[in-house]
Order: sequence, then C-alpha cells, then structure tokens
Amino acid sequence: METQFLFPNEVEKSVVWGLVIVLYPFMTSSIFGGMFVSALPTLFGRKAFAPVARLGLAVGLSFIPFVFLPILLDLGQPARAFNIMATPRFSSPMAVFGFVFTFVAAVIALHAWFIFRKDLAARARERTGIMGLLYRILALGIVEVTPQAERIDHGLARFLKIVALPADALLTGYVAFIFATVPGNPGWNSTLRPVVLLLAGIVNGISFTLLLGMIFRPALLKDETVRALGKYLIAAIGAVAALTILEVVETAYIESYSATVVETLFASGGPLTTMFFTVFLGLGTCVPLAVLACAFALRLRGPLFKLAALAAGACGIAQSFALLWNIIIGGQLVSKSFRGVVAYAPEPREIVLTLGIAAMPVIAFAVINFLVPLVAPHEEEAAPAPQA
Amino acid sequence: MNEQRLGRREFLAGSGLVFVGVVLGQDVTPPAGLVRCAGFPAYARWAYLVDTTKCIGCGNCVRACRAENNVAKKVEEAPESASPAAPADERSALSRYLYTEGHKAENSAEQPTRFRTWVERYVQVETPQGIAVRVDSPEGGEHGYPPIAEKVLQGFFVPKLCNHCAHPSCVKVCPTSATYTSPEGVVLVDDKRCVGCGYCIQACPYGMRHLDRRFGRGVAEKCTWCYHRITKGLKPACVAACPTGARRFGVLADPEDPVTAYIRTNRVYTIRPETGNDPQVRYTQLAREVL
Repeated sequence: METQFLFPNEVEKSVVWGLVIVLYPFMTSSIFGGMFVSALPTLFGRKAFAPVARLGLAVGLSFIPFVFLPILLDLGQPARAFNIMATPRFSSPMAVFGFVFTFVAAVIALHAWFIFRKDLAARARERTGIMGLLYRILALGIVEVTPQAERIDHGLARFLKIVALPADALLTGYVAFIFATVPGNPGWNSTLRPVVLLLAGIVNGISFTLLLGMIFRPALLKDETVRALGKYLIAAIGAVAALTILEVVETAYIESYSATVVETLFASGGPLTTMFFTVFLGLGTCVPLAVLACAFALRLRGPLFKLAALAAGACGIAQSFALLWNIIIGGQLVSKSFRGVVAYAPEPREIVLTLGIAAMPVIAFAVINFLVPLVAPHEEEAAPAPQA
Repeated sequence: MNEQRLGRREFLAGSGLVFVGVVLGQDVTPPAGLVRCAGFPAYARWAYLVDTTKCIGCGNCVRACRAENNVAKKVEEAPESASPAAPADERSALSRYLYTEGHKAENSAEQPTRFRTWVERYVQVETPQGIAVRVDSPEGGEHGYPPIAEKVLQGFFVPKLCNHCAHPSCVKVCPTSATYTSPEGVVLVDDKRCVGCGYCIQACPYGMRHLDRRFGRGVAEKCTWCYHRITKGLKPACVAACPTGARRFGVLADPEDPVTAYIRTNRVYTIRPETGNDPQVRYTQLAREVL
C-alpha cells in the first residue's frame, strides 16, 4: 500500500496550469518592469536612466500584446475566450482581469503614442510608399506637430506616465491576486505574492532593458547607465530572494497540516529542489549578486562591466522564471488530499509553445526599434524632472 | 373619452401601496407540513447523506456513475497487429484544437481516466514505528483494492462526491458564469459557456472537478447529483446502485423522508467545513483522518 495518497482526479496530469501559464505573470510583471525603468528619469529624477527611458518603455510595450496569449492557448475552448468579457462574473478575479488589463494597456499605449508622436509625424512626412502609409496610420493622420502641440503632448505623456505606473503596478499585483485568492490551494494563499511579483517585475524590466538594449541599441547603454541599472538590479534581486525565503521559512515554521507535504517539495530529491535551490537561489540570486558585487568592488569599467551586468541580467530573468515556476507549478504539486506530492514535467509541446510565446516580445521589440527612434529621448531630457 | 392624468402625489402613493403590498404579501413561512433541516440553505431542495459505516467499497457507485454520465476513461491502445476496432479521429491537429461544439465525446487513449465520484479506503495499521493510517483509492475504487500486508487494526471506506457547497468557491471564481448554482442548490456547469480555463479546478478544495479534453470538448466536468435523474424524481445513479444504503438521497422539505428524518435527529458531519464553502453532503461517523 502506498504511503502517499492523491485524489483520483490528480493521478494523471494533475497540474492544470503548466509551463505556459508560468509565462503569464512573467510577462505581466515585465510590463511593469519596463515602465518602471522608463519612469525612473521622468518621475523620480534619476538622470542616469534617461538614455534608457525609451528602451524601458519599448520593453513594456513589446510585452503588452502577448499577455493574454499564454492563457488563450491554455484554454480548453480558446474559441470561446471572449465569454470572459461577454458574460463575466465579477466575483471572479480572472474575469475582472480582462477589464483591468484593457484599461492599463490603453493607458500605456496612449502614453507611448504621445511620447513617439513627434517622431511618427516626422517619419510620416519624410517616408513615402507603404512605410509612409504605415507611419501616417500610426500617427493617426496627424503629420504636423507644432511647438504648442509638442508642449501639450509632453504634458499629456507625463500625466499618463503618472497614471500608467501605479495602474501597471495594480495590474501586476492583480495577477498575483488571481493566484493568491484561490481557496482550494493553500500554497498560493500569501499576502506577499503581489509585492514579490512587483519586485520580480523590476528585475525583469532591468534585465530585459540590459539584454535587448545590448542587442539592438548598444550605444544607449553608457557606463553610467549600466552602473545605475546594476545597482537597482542588486536591490531588486536581493529583495525578491529575501521575501521568498521569508515565505518558505514561515510555511515551515507554522507547520500547518500541509507543512509535511510542503517539506517534501523542498527535501532532497523533491520536485522543487532543483528549481528552488539550484536555479532560484543559486543561478538566479547568488550568481548575479556575486557577479555584480565583484564588478563594483573591482571597479570594472567599459565592456567588462557591461558583460558582468549582462550576465547578471540573464540570471535575473532566470530568478524571475524560477520564482514563478515555484509559485505556480509548486503550488499545484501538493495534492489536495494533503497526503502526497504529484510530479510534473512539461511536455515537448508545452516547451515549444512556451519558447514560441517568449520569443514574440523580442520580435515585437525589434519591430518597435525599427519603427520609432529609441535613441532620442528628447521628451525626457527636456522635461524638468522633479527630485524624488 | 375622459383623459385621466396621474399626478405625482397619486403616483407616489400608489407606488408606496404596491411596495407595502408586495412586502406584506411575501410568503415567508414554509407551507404547512413542510420542514427544513438546520444547516441547509433555504433554497436547498435535496439532501445527500453518506453513511460511512455501511460502505463496503464494492465500487458499484463509481461504475454506475461512469456508465450513467459517460465519465472520461482512458482506453488502452490496442497493439498494432490488432485490427482497427474503432475509427480514429481523422481531424488534423489544428482542426481538433479549434473544434468547439457538437462532437460526440468519446473515450480515447489520450484522455486520462477521471472521476465524478470515488471511494477512499482508510486503514489503520500497526507498524514498527507505531500506528499509522493508510489511505488509498486505486482507480477510484472502481475495481477493488489490493490486500494489505501490515497488521490491520481497523478500516473503513469513505465515498466522495461533489459537495454542492452552499458557498461554492468554484462558482465564485468562474470567469464566464459557466459554473452556477441551480435554484435547487445543485452546482452545475454550462458546457456551452465554459472556456476550460481550469480556475474552478484550482478553486475546489475537494479535487472533485476535472477538465474533459475528449475530442476537443475542453470543459470542466463534475458530479451533478445526476441532475437529469433527480429532476424526474429518480435517485442519482450512485445512490441507486449502492447495495448497502451507504449513499442516500432525500427530499429536504418532506419530514417523512428517511434521509431528512435522519439528518434532523442525528449528528452529521461535513468534510473540511473550515474551507468556508459550506459543503452540503452530510456524512455519518466521519473520522478525523478524512480530508
């Protein structure tokens, strides 16, 4: 007779939300991270970030169209997806998410439009043919920008950024809320979830700004900017790790009736051992912190420091991914019988799908980089930034 | 023809009278001769009672449920040498994925075996480390249980099914209103509206729901207390198939109903009341090991 017991419906394919769904909070938090980087110079007066403000905005923008994709492709009936907005039940966090996301996406898109309008109008005037038509469409047919209109644009963009940043924080926190409020899964019920997800979003935002910036716009990443990004990355990675460890220690200390099973998740050879200790704590936390600490301590400059920051950024993304894996997959590994732990290994189809979805924001970033200049953040530089 | 105009004062006075009439006219007391059991919501029409002392773990209920409701079952793939017994699904992967409605659900090798109800076996055994409780439900108890090698002190069976909670978390989280509570208190799924997001499966603390992916159905499935039967005055299939009377079904409003009478005069329990879902399936002699 087996010592562990799973409810019969959990015996096969018990993890309902698999690898693809891990991407959903990952992408949502990345939008917040990009917006955070973009807001640092304009709203918080951090001038060192001014060269990457548009880069951060582009990072946020490039994730927006694909946030729904993981959920949509994971639905049993994707053709009926619009039912969520057609016949919503407002007591369901998932139903309300559609409306919250639509609002936030609209605010961010509008904000970006006001930021890029001058450049779109200029290119609409300069270009001919299909590209000219495309720029005219993107500029909504307004190809002349007077100095007065530019001033109004600048004011509106600033106002929308003030609205967009907290709204996006709300959205990211809300995604964490979707998981944290599931009554049937004690592993998800934590009030720290929204905070941790916001911090993971900052890690993602900085990391993607570094990585995508280095690939598409290396000239923007000046020494001073990379150093500033590195400092924020250290703080964010450290905070994510500290809060996550706090949660695990709390679960172990409280010893609720599911604690014994939770312990087996993290025990030697348990299903979360590799993802938590090796990927999250080792690769995602210790390695980037050590690399950046060494880079600062050794006073590295130029390409060497950029390389260290890039490596730390890649590890930061690994940390966020492992964090979300441990929350979403890890939360489902404990049987609802509290008498066993189920196994999960993503199918090849899931891995391909996940990689495909993950590649889309990168393509979107390349398209944005092609369409609008991320180099000249004239709005940010011209803005009389208040001191935080 | 005289034109009669309704003034503001007359309108307000008339509206007030109608309101008072509606409030006073409400029939707040149950009809004479009908009773209600404590612990059930006012709208609940039926009661489900499980007597754990009578269950023998025969699995009749699980088999009856599967037959009555065409519950998903994995079909072992035939060896290649065998002749094709059933026509394969000829649609492409894309059309299968995009397929929405109207296709007859069939069991297949891809579909894992699922359960709307099952029977758990709890056995208290003596081990060198002390007394331990072993729990199992191989294939939901549909085909019996393996023998136990350890020294058995006591054992019992616990049938499980959807609790049709008064405050169901599955209904609360359903984003499309596909899961709902019927006017009689039965929790149902509208499979034409369900998008198959799995949120209800996550939310149910009892593990009662599953996603039925047979031939692109992709919707949530659960026990309905055989709604199609009980609304015609029949018993649920599991109750009808139970040879020992361990599963019992009754009409709450009828004081002569044996189940109603039992619940009114005996101590009955629910599983995991601490979830706040207010489960409506009642159990007798429920051991603390049962979660």
